[in-house]
Amino acid sequence: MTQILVPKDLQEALELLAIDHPPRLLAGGTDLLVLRKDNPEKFASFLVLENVRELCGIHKENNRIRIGSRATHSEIEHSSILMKYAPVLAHAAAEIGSVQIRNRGTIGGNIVNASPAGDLIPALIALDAVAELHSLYRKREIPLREFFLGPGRTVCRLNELLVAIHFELPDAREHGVFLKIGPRKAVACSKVNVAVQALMHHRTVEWIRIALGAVAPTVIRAPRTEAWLQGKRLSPELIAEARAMVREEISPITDIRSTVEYRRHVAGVLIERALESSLSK
Amino acid sequence: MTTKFIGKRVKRNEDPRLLTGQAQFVDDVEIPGMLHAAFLRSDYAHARLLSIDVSEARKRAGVVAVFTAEDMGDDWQPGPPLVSPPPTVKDVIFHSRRQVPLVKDKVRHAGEAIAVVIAESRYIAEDAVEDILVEFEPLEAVIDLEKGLEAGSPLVHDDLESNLAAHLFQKKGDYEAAREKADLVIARRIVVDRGAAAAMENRGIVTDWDKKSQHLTVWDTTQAPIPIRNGLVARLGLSEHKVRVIAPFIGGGFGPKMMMFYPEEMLIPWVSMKLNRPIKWIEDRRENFYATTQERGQIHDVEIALSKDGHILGLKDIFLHDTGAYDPYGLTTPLNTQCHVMGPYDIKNFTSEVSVVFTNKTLVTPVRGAGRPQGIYIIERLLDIAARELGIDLIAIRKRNLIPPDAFPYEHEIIDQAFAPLVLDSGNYWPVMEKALEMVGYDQFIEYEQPRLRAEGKYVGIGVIPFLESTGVGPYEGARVTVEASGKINVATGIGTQGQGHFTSFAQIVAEQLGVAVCDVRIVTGDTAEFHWGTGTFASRGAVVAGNAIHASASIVRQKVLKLASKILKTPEEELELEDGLVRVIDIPHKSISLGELALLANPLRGAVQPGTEPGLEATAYFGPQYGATAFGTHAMILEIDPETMMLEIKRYITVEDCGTVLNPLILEGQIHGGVSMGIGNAYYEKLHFDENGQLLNASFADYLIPSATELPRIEVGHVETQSPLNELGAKGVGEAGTLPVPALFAQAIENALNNRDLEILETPLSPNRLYELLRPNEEKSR
Repeated sequence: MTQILVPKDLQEALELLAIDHPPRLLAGGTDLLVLRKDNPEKFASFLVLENVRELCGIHKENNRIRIGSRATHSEIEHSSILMKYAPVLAHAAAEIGSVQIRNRGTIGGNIVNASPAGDLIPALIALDAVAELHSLYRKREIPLREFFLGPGRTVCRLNELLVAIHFELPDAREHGVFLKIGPRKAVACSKVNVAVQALMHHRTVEWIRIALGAVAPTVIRAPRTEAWLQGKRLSPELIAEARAMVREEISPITDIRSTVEYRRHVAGVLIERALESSLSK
Repeated sequence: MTTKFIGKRVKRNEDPRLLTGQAQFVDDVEIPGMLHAAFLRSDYAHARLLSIDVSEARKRAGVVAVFTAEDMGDDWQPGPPLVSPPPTVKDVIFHSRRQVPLVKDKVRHAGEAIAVVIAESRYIAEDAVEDILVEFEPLEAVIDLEKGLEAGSPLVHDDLESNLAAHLFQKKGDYEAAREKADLVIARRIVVDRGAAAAMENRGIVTDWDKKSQHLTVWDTTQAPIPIRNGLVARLGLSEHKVRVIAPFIGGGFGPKMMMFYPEEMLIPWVSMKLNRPIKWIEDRRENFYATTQERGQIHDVEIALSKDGHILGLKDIFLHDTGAYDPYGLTTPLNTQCHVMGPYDIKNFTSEVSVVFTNKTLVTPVRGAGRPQGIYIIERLLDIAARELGIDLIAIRKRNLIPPDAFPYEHEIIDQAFAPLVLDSGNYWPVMEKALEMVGYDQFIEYEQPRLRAEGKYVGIGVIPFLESTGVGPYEGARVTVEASGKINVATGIGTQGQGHFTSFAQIVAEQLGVAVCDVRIVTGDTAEFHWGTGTFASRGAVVAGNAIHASASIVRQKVLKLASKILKTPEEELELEDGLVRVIDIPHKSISLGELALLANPLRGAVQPGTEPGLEATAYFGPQYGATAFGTHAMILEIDPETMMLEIKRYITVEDCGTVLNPLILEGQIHGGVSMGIGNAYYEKLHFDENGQLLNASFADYLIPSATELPRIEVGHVETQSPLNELGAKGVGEAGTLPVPALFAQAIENALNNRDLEILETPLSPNRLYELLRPNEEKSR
């Protein structure tokens, strides 16, 4: 028998979570219901978040952008705030699954599902986003780059609820790019995805954040390449070197979707293209 | 001929039902008291079955019965051979090993059924499957075709000396002598791998046994209901009139739903009779990946001998064909490969030797194309390589070798899939190819566009592949055409329908003869109670064989109509016309009688009739072709490839088909579009990955990606008509045509796009990842 709990607000949701074997959180269900199909016994109890209004909305607050964890991929894709200030995230959302999946799936779900190939995660890490976790007794904030422990594993505890994600309002001069290679143009898991957020001044990199998905157990940053690029003036030669450097900074695997060599190669290509697009700005 | 209905773009009669969800599929059948079946399937590809304990499953509430091979007693029998034993070719070897209803001693492929649970609901049945305990002794699996034939390989069938399922040698002329004279001999190894048919609807069966009337009704997702009926009759010991098999609307067949006698097709009716209850089984997608047949695995060692001006002097092809764990479908698929590896070319000297290999993988039977795409891939790859080595244009080398129009009927001196001599009935190939070249703008592209786009750094390539397809094979089909008292026409034929538009194209054939509206012709397919002679829908034969049977029946009914109307209207037959559902006197339009009135008059309730009179306006006729009609076509494509990621985009896609008389261009184009989509999947997206243990690693649509709308180009279709002399309609089949040349076309166009990178493609399917791997050694060499 499956138990379905439908709390009316955040407080009630947190109360229902504050037990020994808490229910599984259900938002869009695009990942969870697929997992449940193979292991129904692991999913005896669900906490449905559809009435928890505190998890909704995309807002600009002071100097930060705050996205409720129940914001759907479609809302992110079409958000005027994100299109203006963080297009890297809007573009990443537009690449997820199909229209139907984007209408159901949520940013919170995409994060806690912790797929190494999740499309929103590199964009959020490139934006240096922070996850806001609530339990009945406390609230904590974890930078997303420290949030993931491995495929499907995060620092989020079973009694905690991911309420929102927020990041500093990007400067108007910042530039963000999301690129993805999948086996098919739509409804396909990424073989490699990359997000780059950078501030350039006369083609010189003031700072840059590079995040890559599906090339390691979690989405990763490329700190060596980032540090090396900082303060340098972008040129085709420099980009070629960055491409080679990124290839060595990642640790992809071979599986039926792709091989190590191809993933390494394509990660380099995508970084090159992301940097080239910065160059053309 | 001038026609009123044939060849017109008539919208499909069946679409309103399909589009509004009114059409009946197998899973729509609900019967009071119906039980549900679920199967326990083997996780191992190769394992001895040591013990099986179903006691817990039987105890579960809601479970009605559980059957294992033991429980079947003497009713446990391997399936019937589906295609008669191999031909009378000299020295042929064929070991018939048919699929079993439930595993008795040894599992031979992952997904093979071990037990069936029957319960009040599918949920309960699935849960009870989990209760069954099985002890296996895992065995080393036979996966690789070459290793499978090595001495000391594990055996799929222990009673055989090796995994060789069949061996067949065919020749024409003298290849070795031709080779001696050749200026160029090219030898290559070319590998084709496996894919799934991936029909939208999985398989399904509902059976209803009525003990009082001793009558069995079976709804089955089969392409061939009559052979299924015949097989059930033989196995269950019932009269043919006590078994009704219905193939309702089916969400795609593509070959694997042919007259297979899948284990489930035999078991579910058997269980229904045992329990005296209706039973439903609907295959799920995972089962479909493991238990529904697949195709295309072959390894070819092939050699072509040419003169320096590019004439083909001879071809020699030694190949291995993967048949999976059993070989119920005989040699159909490898024979098709042998018959298509010479392509549409005039090849005088030919040697072909196939070794069919048992492996611990899902069974292989025809999938749309059925061995033909492999043959086409081989010859077209060889011609591309030859053209490059000889410095001849890709089109010129093909044009030079095409069978000329005056050579038909062209005898190939080998036997085909019907075990009859391979004869190409008719054709005029070059105009078809020329039309495709015009439509794609070949010269313009090569001279101007490609250099311009290359200069912009774009990797664009063009491909043009001609191909032929043997279609419309026998033995025969039949049809009964009846004018009803309402004036509407009822037509019944034995073949099944899986989306081919039979309810419209067949109606057009009848409307042509009887002068009624297409929507007033009701077609019944795939119901043995309505028509009980015939074979099925496969081998691109529906329109040719059933179509001509319907044409023949309708022609006889037309004669009956004219004869009766002539008597009633007191006008000679030749002064009558059939129009708008009426028989009219040609020059006196108001002097007429409706077909409905005639039908009533032909079935009098009182009064004396002439001796020998048959009631009604009805006729049954059959058509069996002397041999198959051969269709021809050419596909052309322009694609752009990202030279770093190998992701590609199709810019133009052109097909020109010569399938003889076109019955309905709208339906034809739909068939071609579907076929090309499937071919694109075969060429660049779809491949089944089996590991060394015989586990399928991508048995879901999350990992086995079929192309979607975003991958498919707009497909432009052109027609040329060379009518077949073998049938009245002049028709040739086209159901598989769209799929056949696509892998060869991809290989050619990709090489053309990347022609600066020293690439020679000798395998299919490709993928961006695989293409990258093929190019990498070259890149490393050049560094």
